Amino acid sequence: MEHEIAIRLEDVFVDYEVFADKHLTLRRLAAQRFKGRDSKLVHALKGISNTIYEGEVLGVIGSNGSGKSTLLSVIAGLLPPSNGSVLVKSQPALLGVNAALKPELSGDRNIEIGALAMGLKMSEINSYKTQIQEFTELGEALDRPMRTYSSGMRSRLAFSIATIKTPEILLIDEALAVGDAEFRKKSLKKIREMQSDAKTIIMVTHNLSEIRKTCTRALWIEKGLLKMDGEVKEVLDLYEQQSTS
Amino acid sequence: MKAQKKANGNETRSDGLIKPGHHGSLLDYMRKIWERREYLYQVPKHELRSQQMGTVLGNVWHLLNPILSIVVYAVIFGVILKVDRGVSNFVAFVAIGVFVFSFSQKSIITGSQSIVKNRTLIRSINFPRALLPITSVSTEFLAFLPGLAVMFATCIATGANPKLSWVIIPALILVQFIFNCGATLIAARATARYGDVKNILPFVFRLLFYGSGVLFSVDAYVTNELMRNLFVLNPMFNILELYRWAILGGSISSVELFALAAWTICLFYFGVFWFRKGESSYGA
Repeated sequence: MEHEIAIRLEDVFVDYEVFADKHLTLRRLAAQRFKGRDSKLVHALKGISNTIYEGEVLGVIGSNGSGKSTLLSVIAGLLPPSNGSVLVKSQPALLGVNAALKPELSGDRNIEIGALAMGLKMSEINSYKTQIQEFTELGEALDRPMRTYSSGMRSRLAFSIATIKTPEILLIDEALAVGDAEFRKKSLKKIREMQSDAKTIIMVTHNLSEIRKTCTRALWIEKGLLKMDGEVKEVLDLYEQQSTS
Repeated sequence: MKAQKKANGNETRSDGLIKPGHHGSLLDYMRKIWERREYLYQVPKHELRSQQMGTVLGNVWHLLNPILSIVVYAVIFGVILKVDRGVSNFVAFVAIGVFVFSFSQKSIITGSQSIVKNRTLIRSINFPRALLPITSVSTEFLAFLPGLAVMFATCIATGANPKLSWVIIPALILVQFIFNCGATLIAARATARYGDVKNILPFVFRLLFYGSGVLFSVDAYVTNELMRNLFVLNPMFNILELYRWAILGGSISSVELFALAAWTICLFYFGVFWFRKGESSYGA
């Protein structure tokens, strides 16, 4: 392959510690100390290894709770792997569903805050602003607090924030699924543009036809393990067969 | 195996890959916060504005609040109680005590929640997390500015003449800002891990309030020399002493200056260092 490595996952494990009673801190401490029965380790990912190259658009499928979202969080560096290693060519941007950064503030302010946190200057933000506003097509709703937004509106805004800087690696978690047809068309167009610039994209979605249309490869994750890795058609056909049977 | 793990921990690798969400050395970390300095002004600006949303007077309250507190203190201590033992200009004395103390108190108490309250932001975007507690301090700094103006107005109105030592006030504010950042970083990480801290902090500050001589002159009440020396260990006491010395005059010992400098440097260094150790855990 002529392209360089964008992401390398080596035997990645992610464990969550869950407690029978979250509020009993003393008991929690004691449980940690004596490895008691109250705390339980949940293995969200159980040893995932994969190499993703620049210019790939990777579709990740699997049933609810299979570890797909955890995989994206760990690649974005928002969640530390409990074992194994995650390495990336450059810092990925994650586009999630519940991406209201500050729900009590307006959409406009959320764009500002997100962009400032990403390290943009106010002058840059102001010059991008109309472009972002047009892309979201939210119009006057941009002045309303984000808690009043529908999930589709939120994801329009989130998509715009995440792609302000055109990241080298973009991770999309179900965010396109809640948008309407027109917005989906627009974001898929943007994704193709990014792909032709050799940007790397990983998308998690239950919308299989979207994966068929856009992805170059598919990963199937089940119960924290990599079940299948291969051609989109091959993986999706088998996945569909299994979920209908 | 261990050696390999160590190699992965380094930021520069032969294949040019990096760890996601990793901000490099302590110096790189500080540089990345500096790059985002506009955040430290823009977010507090909206934060303060939204605090007064739904009020008729809006931002005027940020000025009106300190004025009203001064009026209350002037009435209680200047007219009713008259507990001005050992202090010539008691209203100014109290004004400095209350505003300066509450700058630190509010910074640290609201900042301790900065990780917990910004989980969605943390889970969506990668940036040095220390930006959040420091933003709380800068929010309280902006809120402190009208208080500062009221404080000076009170001092002048009650007969304190402007003096040369006023020029060191900005330096003093800077020191207090850095001190607050250090303490807030520690409080933020502690609160992110143990929610209990939220319940403890108000008591710590109530204790500090009485132990810093916010409403009384320690020198006038504490005659035992050993006891008096113990107060110097309290950084808030030293901050108040310095402000009062700079604004109202009087005497100051180099021990207090030294103690505050030591506290500020140690607290800030330890705060950044310790907060950064938990960096990857804040999204969980």
